[in-house]
Amino acid sequence: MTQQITRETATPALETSEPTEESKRARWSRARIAWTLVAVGFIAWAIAAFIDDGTLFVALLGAGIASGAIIAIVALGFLMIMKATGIANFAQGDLVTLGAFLGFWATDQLGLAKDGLGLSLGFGYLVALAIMFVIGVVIERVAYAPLRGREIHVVVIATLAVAIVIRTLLAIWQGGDPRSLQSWFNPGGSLQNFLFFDQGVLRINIGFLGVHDAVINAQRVVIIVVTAVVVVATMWLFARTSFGRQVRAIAADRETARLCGVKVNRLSMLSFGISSCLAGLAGILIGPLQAFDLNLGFTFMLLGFAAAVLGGFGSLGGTVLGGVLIGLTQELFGGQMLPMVAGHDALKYRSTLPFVLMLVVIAIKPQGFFGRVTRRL
Amino acid sequence: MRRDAGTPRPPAVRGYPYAWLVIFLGFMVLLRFAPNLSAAQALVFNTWLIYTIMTVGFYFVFGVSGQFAFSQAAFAMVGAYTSSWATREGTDWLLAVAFGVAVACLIAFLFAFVARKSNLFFLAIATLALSEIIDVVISQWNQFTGQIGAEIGHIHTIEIFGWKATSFSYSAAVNQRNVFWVYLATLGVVMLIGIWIARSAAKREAIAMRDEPAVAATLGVPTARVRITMFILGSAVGAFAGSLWAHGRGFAQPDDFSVELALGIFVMLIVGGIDSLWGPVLGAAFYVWVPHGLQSLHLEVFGHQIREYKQIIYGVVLLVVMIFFPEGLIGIFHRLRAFVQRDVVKGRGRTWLTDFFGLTKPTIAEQPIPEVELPPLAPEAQARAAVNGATVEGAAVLRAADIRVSFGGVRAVDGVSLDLRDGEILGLVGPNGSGKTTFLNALTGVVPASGAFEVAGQPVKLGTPGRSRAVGVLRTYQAPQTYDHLSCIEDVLISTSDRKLTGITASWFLRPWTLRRERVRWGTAATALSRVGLGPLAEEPAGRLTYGQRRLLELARSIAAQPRVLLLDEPSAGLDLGETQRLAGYLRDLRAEGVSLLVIDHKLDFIISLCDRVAVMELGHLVAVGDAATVFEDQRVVDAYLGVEES
Repeated sequence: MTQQITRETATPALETSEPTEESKRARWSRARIAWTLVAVGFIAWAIAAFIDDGTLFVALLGAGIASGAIIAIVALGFLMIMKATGIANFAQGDLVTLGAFLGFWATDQLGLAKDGLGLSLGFGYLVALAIMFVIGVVIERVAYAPLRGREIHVVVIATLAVAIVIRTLLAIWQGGDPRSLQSWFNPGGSLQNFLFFDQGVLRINIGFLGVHDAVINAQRVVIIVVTAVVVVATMWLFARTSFGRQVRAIAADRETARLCGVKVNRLSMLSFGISSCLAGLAGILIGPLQAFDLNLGFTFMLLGFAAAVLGGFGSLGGTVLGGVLIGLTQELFGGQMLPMVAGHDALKYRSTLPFVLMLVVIAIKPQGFFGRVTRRL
Repeated sequence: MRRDAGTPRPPAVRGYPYAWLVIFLGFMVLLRFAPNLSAAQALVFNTWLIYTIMTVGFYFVFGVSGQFAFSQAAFAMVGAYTSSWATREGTDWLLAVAFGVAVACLIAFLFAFVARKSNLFFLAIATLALSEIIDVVISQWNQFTGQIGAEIGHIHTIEIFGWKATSFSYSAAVNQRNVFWVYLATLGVVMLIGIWIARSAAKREAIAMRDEPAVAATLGVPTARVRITMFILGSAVGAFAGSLWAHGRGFAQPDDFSVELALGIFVMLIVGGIDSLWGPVLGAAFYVWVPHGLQSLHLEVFGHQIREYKQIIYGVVLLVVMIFFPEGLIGIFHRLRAFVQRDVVKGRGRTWLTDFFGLTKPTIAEQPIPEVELPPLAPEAQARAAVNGATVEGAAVLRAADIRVSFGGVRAVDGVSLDLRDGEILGLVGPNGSGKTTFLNALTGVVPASGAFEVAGQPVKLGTPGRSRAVGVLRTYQAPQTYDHLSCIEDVLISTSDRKLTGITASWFLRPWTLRRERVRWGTAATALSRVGLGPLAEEPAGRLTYGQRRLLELARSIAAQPRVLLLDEPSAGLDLGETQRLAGYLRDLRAEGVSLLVIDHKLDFIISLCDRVAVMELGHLVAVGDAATVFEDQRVVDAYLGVEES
């Protein structure tokens, strides 16, 4: 035994890149200062916009949150399938369109819809959602189940094929004319003067700030409320139910979950059904706000996808936040704040803003805001 | 006409792709002119060609380097509109096209750089975002397009060195015919580029980057560069196709380059076959001809013309193709070949015909390679061994000081300092979860870490994979990281220390030199494989190896890299007694050649018999370092392994 056991210490000759904890904190705080400055500047900009035209500001704020809420619902649908099956469903956009058209078909009173059912609003929409659920399950059986375990891009193509079929069937069945849905708060609906809603709009009166007549369409309020309910329900579904536990198990490790007795088949059918329901709901909610045709869903799919990515394809809260962020960027930032400094011409390029935001996020956080890389070598 | 097993050829220079290219181009000409195509069909034919070119570009982006991008159509749009703008400003036609491609390259570079760390769906959405931005900007930027709504007509027509290929004064049929030749020539050039890339190190490295970027980086592949260049190349091809298309038709509109086309290009590549350069040809044919064929069907079903349902039928056919041919339409040919191949046993029945169709199994690399006679290891490694002897007290080749890694609140490695002396084998043991692998990950830059790290006196930056490779540190992984889509010999070639002329441009302009280098590299790799006894399996796909063989393959890969330091993570796991002993022999040989080794393992007898010194880790700390017998009598080590008795 010639050698002595030594407690190894740092070789003095070697320079350590020094007190890691502190240098880390120092670097972090610099980043934090930068971010705080950005945030403060942004808020100041928003306040300036509010003072500049409070009425517009409040209206756009409402519109932004509502449109963000719709995006969030679509994104939740994405997430549901993503977690349960590990693929992205590119038919989600056309499912939104299909939902809106099914709602139209079920509730149309004027005889514009082909084979219309002419049901009352509430019941008609429920019927539409039920059909959406069935369609989701059918899609799973036809386009996903035979391809399970194949490479991701193959399944992506299958979902694209489904999108083509849905769209064409809709075109043949209901035609491509612009349609619009009824809501309880529109003229023609039943609950016309409900509570503080006046003629289908919510009026906000904050006199001392100079906001006299800000108008938020009541449908937007409905959207926000419904979305809040849906989000809470989905969170409950994931966190508290056996379904959610199993889906999370699958998301973590498919094979192990299957070996532990999780019924992968039934679960993926269920999640396709729920996801398709969510897409349909988004379509029905947006329907009364705008005339829509067969292209309704595409933008929502892109933006919903973007919201899911912002949330890092994992966290529900992050996804909803991402959706609202996108909605606000599009409406409030693009509609009022940007034209304030960039002139009226900037409005032309407004629809690119959510995507610019996407690129900025990807540049800073390549895996989304709440995403993590978990692969172990 | 029988053929003997000829000179073995490296994987990258096998087969007869040039002959196939000529046959293909001839076939296309026949297909175009043998039957008398109508004007509509001629148009579809040209669309097929232009889509094929775009999709070949996408093949570089997605097929070869695995980037889930949807931006191909947008780059085509950039090319089309930029070159039309340039010709309107009075630039020469060819220059304008070059300008369009250059602008697209610039955008592609900026984007690829920004998104260089995003993968899969994150990259997919980023490229979709980029496409939307490009689409909106071009549609709205009236000063640039010269037209509100960007539907421009009267674009400068194609004119090559005085030959007016297309003109507004020609008839449609003449234009279609001339444009066909232009498109076909372009397709030929683009295919040639693809063949050259496949016949060089570039494709292999891109595949390594695609399948496991971190591992590729620790083997020395410049992953970020490979990724970005492939993206730029693919996008440039797309832009080129786009601008040719605009000039060939004389008009352009944003709808031609919509997201629908982006998704369509994706469909074409997958349906055709993602793993083959010929896939895009088949995929584009499917995408263009199936709807056209359905359109011209005159069948009545349920009182409707069947072509009203053409989109549905198309969607269903797409679904069916994906279910039955997940590897794409090219898979039909592959299956056919596999079917015929069963009859052609290696060596017997080998003719020039079976060679030509790729039916003959390649000659295995184990056979002596006449012109290349390499020493078992790099001369400089041997020189080191001669100068330093087996072990030199105190002279450390690798020094790590105060290495720290934390995951959230967990300090996986908490201030570990360890020296590896020149020409020694150092064992690193410790209970599971004590941070051994994380320590290795920290040194090779796979996980973010802090501390100081130095190899042969050169400081190495932590946190970036590939830095340690640059100073001669190679490693193997706890779970063997081999490339299933490459053959064993190609897998070994990835780690080569000779990285000269492995780039894309070299594969175009310096072919003889590239190939000469490739042969030398191939010899080194074959020798390394033979050293660990995998010589006969050189041409097998790495995915077919057993667990133990993969470990040996990783070892061969490290040897071929001519390392100075080798870090081995549980090399004996999954090996039986005989294999473990053989492994110990290989490692001793390496030491004799001057390589210093750090070996993590749980088999203590293996460690004790092999190592000069042993270090013990527990809970992220280094507990003891010394010679094996002493270390394992130390109370702290006993406690770490067996636990402390409660009393």
